[in-house]
Amino acid sequence: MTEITNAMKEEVSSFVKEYFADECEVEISGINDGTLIIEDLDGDSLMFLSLLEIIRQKYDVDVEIKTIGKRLMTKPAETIGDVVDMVLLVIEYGENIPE
Amino acid sequence: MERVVITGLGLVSPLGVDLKSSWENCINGKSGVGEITHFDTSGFKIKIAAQIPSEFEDIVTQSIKKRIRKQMTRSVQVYAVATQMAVEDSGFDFETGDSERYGAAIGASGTDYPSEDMSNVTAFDSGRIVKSMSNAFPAWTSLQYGLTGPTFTVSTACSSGGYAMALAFDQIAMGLCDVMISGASCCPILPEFIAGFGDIQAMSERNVSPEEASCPFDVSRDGFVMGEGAGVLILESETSARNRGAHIYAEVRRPALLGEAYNIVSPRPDGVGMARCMETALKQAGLNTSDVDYINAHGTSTPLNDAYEAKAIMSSFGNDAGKLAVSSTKSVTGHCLAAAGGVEAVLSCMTLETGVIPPTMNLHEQDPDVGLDFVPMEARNAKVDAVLSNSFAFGGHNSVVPFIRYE
Repeated sequence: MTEITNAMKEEVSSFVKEYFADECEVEISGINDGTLIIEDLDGDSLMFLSLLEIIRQKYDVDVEIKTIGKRLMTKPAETIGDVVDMVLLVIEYGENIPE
Repeated sequence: MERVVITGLGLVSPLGVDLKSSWENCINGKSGVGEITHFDTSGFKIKIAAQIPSEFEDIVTQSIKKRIRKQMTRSVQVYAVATQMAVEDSGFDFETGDSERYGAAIGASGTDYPSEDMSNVTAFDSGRIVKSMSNAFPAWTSLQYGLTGPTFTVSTACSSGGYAMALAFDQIAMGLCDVMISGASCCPILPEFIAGFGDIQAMSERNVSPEEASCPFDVSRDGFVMGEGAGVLILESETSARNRGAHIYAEVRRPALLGEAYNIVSPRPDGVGMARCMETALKQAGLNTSDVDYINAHGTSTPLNDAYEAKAIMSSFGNDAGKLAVSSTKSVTGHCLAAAGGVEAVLSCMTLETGVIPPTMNLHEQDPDVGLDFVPMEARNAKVDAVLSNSFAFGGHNSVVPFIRYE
């Protein structure tokens, strides 16, 4: 289990917003925690998979995509804020994400 | 039966990154063939191809969002850009009306996903499956324009475009759809295809004179030159087109689709299968041989195809064969394989639109026993009322698409 600091929260939040801004070719200033990934950014679920792969390598997290998928089945990540929270959970708990 | 008309054209080809430049270079006989730059050809006996001009990279960046672009192979990107051009040209608004009456039928041999990338399974790639889906062409179009009618890919090698247009035609003629996006795309200039076609002696090896290598119907022809591109047409019911006052390039009559059941790569001797297909196209279109002014030939520059196609034309058209113009635009575009039928359908419509017949470039001496007018070396102004667009494929899948001046 990794301790999540405020600095890490800010770093992840910025990283996620930069990722979506770059991938969806929108200004980062137009993205906030309430931005909807599909409706507002014209994004898709495959983007989330690519992001998670980057996160796994960046933070050296040991987690199966399948584990994250199970969590998303019950708590979908629809907004940027949802994705940030999910990424933080992944970094904190790895394979042991609470249901 | 609804009449079917063409109301939009889009073209990305070795001759240009849009319809206008492609057409102008085509009728001016400017070749799109040059040295292959897509990959290192060291060790390959064939080093030439007809590549889309490099400015396409800027156009695709401006036209398609990065996220979507990354999930597309080059072939799908080229198709998507050509489709945007065709839709814009047609002026059709897919946001109005019943979306279940709008569809897409696209010809392709696959997505031309480079096997090197496909097989690199150690690298994470969330787009690997989407990039390999041969239905990616109409799938992306359905997403972009909200088409909820029939959308599908048709794969019959070099006649894929003709087959796709025939199936698109049927949807409209039978009253099931009002508009179908159709055409074909192919970007096969990859090591595996250059080597593969080279191995079966199908390609020209004139590396020292690329612009002269594709010489359909010339006695010195030694094989085709590979090309790439996409040609997209908007097929629309006459009723819909007239109601909205659309510009109509041409009427399309039902294409002939026939199989040869002879050989996996060779056409039936003396072009018997090709002739049968042209005769069927004439019959289905309600045309006499004297009605046809121009044939955009398959004309690949291979020894067998061109000899057999010429014989087939002479056989099918009899005494009228010498009166019609026949040319192969592959002399400048190269052979765009699965895209050929789409690219050449667009050029055929432009012939009807402008009254200019594209030349067969690099034709200096034709086979002595062939009495056809191949429009050698120079475009020609003519009154053109009916055109046949021929496509004949490996596997014996033949198609002939009739385009008629709309009145």
